[in-house]
Amino acid sequence: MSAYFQMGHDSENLVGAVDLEEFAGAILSPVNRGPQELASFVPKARLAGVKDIILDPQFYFPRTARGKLGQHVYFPQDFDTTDYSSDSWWAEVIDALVAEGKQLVVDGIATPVICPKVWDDKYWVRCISTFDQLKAKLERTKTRPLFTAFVNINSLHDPHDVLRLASIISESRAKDVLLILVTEIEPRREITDDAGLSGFMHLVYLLGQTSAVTVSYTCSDVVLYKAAGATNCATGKFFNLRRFTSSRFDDSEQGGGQIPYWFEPNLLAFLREADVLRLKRFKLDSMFVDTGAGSIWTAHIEQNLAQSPPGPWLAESWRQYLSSFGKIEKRVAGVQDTSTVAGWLKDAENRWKQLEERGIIMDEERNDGRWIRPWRQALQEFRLRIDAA
Amino acid sequence: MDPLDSLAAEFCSANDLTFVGFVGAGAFKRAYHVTTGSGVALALKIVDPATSSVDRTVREIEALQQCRSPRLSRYHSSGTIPFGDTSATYLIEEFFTEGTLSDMLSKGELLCAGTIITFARALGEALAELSTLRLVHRDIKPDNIMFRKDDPIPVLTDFGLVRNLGRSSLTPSWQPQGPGTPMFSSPEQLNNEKILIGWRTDQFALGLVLGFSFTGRHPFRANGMSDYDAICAVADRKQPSREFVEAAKANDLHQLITMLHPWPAGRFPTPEKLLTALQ
Repeated sequence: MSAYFQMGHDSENLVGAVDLEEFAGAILSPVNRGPQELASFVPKARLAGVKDIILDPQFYFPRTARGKLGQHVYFPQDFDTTDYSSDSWWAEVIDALVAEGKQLVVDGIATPVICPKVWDDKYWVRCISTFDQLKAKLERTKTRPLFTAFVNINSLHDPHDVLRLASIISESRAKDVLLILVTEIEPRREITDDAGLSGFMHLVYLLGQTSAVTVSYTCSDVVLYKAAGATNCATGKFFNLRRFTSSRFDDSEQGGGQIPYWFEPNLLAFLREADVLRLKRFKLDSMFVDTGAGSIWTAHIEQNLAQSPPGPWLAESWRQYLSSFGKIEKRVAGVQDTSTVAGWLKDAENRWKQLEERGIIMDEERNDGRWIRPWRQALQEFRLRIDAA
Repeated sequence: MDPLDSLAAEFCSANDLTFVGFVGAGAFKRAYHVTTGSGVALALKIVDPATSSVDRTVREIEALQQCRSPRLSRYHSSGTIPFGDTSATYLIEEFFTEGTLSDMLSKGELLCAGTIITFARALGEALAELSTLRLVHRDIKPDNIMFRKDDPIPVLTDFGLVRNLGRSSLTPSWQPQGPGTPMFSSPEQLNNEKILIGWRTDQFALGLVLGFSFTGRHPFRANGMSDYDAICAVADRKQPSREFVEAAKANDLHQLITMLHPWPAGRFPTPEKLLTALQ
C-alpha cells in the first residue's frame, strides 16, 4: 500500500527527496532513459529507500513514442514489420526483457503490451499468453511478473463490460496487475467521464479481489482509485500537466512545461502562482490545507510567495505535489474509506462553490472544480455496485 | 447387443477381470461393472471410436492421472484394445456402488441446507484441486456426482469434457455453444466464450447442481418458466430467480447466490475463498 514514482524525464532527483518518504516504489521509464541510465539509477533509488522497482517495457505507442526504447536490447529491430500474434516473437522479446530486468536487479517486470486498435478477445488472449510466457520465464527467480492491463475508459461505461473485462484479466491468475487507464482528454484536464470512472473503480475493486493492483499514471484522481481498493498508485512530477493519452510521450523531452503549480488537496486542483496569491489576498485560508498537516514543501512555497517578488519555485512545486499525493495515497486504505473520500469531495465542491459566490476566477479557463461532481457521482455509483454485489 | 459390450467381455476374460454387467452409456462411451480377482469393483469404460475424439479421450485420461483428491474419482489404468479395423480406448476407474446424486434426487428427496453445505465443501475441494492443475471439468451435474460405499460424501466423476487450460482448446470458436450439459452450464459455456472458461465455470455449475438439489428446480427457473427458459436466462446473464434467491437467503445459503453470478468476476475469486465462505 504505497505511492510509486512514475519515472519520466529528469525525475531521478526527486527520488529520496525530503517529505517524499511515502513513495516506496518506482516504475522505470525506458522511453525516457537508456539502459545505462536506468542501471545507474536503480542502486541510487535503493539507497534512497525505494523498496519496489518495476520495469515497465512501455511498448504502448512505439510507433509514435519510441524515445530511448531503441537503446534497450529487448526492443526488437523488427518491431514495425513483425506479426504481433506470434508466440515465438514475444518469447524472444521476453527473453531479452528478463535479461535486462536481471541486469538492472528490478523487483518486478510488467508484460509488454501494445495499445490496440480494437480491444477484442484476441487482444486479451495475446495479453494473457504474453503474461504466461513472462511468468514462466521468471519462475524460480526473485523477480515477479506483473500483468499489464491497458484499459480504455470508453470501454468501461457498461457494468457488464467491466465484469467481463475483470473476468478475463483475472483468468490470467496474475498476483500483480499494472493497470493503466487510457483517456483522450486534453493536457491538464481532469477526467470528468463519471460512467467511465465508476467503471474503472469497479474494475480496480474486482481485480483487487485476487491481485495486488498498481494503478499507473494517476494524479489527484488517486482518491478514487484508492477508495476502490488499489494497492498502489503511481504518479510523476509532470502529472499536473499530462495524463495518459496517446500523445503522452510526445513532448517528454521538453520536460512537460516549466510553469510551477501549487497542488491544493482542499480543492483537488492545481493552482497557478497568481491563483494562490489571489486566494491569500482575499484571506480565503479555508481553501488551503493547514500547513501543519500538509507538506513541508507547501510551507517552503508559502514563505517564498510571501516575498516580493517571489523567487522561482518550479522544483518545489513538483515536490509539493508529490508530497501531497503520497499523504493522500496513505490516508485512503480502501473501500472502507469511501465515505471519507466522499466527504473530501463534497467539501472540495463546497469550496469551489464559495469561490464562485465570491466571484473568484482562476487564471486557467475551466479550472473551476467542475470535475468534482462527476467524481462524486462515480464514487456513489461505485459504492452502489459493490453494495449490490 | 452393442459391439462394445462384447469387446468389454472379451477384454475382461483376457485381463483376469470378472465382467459383472453393463452400467450405462454416454454420448461417447459405455461403462461396465467389473471386478478384479481379489474382488475389487471397478468401472471399465470403453470409448466408442466412431463417435469420440481421440484428443478429448487423451485429455480425459491425462486429467484423471493427475488427480489426487479423495473427492475425485480414482484412476486405475487405460490403454487401447483392437476393435475391428481400428482400436478402442479403454479406461478403468473406481466403481461407485452407491449410485449418483441423480439417483438420490429421483427418489424425490431434496437435500437439506446442512447437506448442501457438506456437499459444497467436498466438491469445492475437488474444484480446488482441479484449479491447481489448471483443469476445468465442464460437466458437473447430478449424473456425474457419485457416492462410495459407507461414505456419504460425494465424489466428482467423468472427465470426458475436461479442458486443460495449459493446452490449446479443442472447441472451434465458431460453435455457438461450448461443450457441457445445458441444464448445468455456465453462461460462458452456453455462449462458447472460451476466454472466460476457468475454475469459476465449474463453480457456477456446482452452484446450479446444489441449487437444483435444494429446491428441486433450476435456480434460474422462476414460477411459470420452463427449464428451457431457465437455460436461456443463464445464457442471457440474468440473475437467479427471485424464488431461488429468497429460499437461499432464508436458509443461510447465500454462498450459492455468489456462485451463480452471471460473470466469473462476480463469483468467488479463488477456491480458497469459496471454501472459507462455506465454513
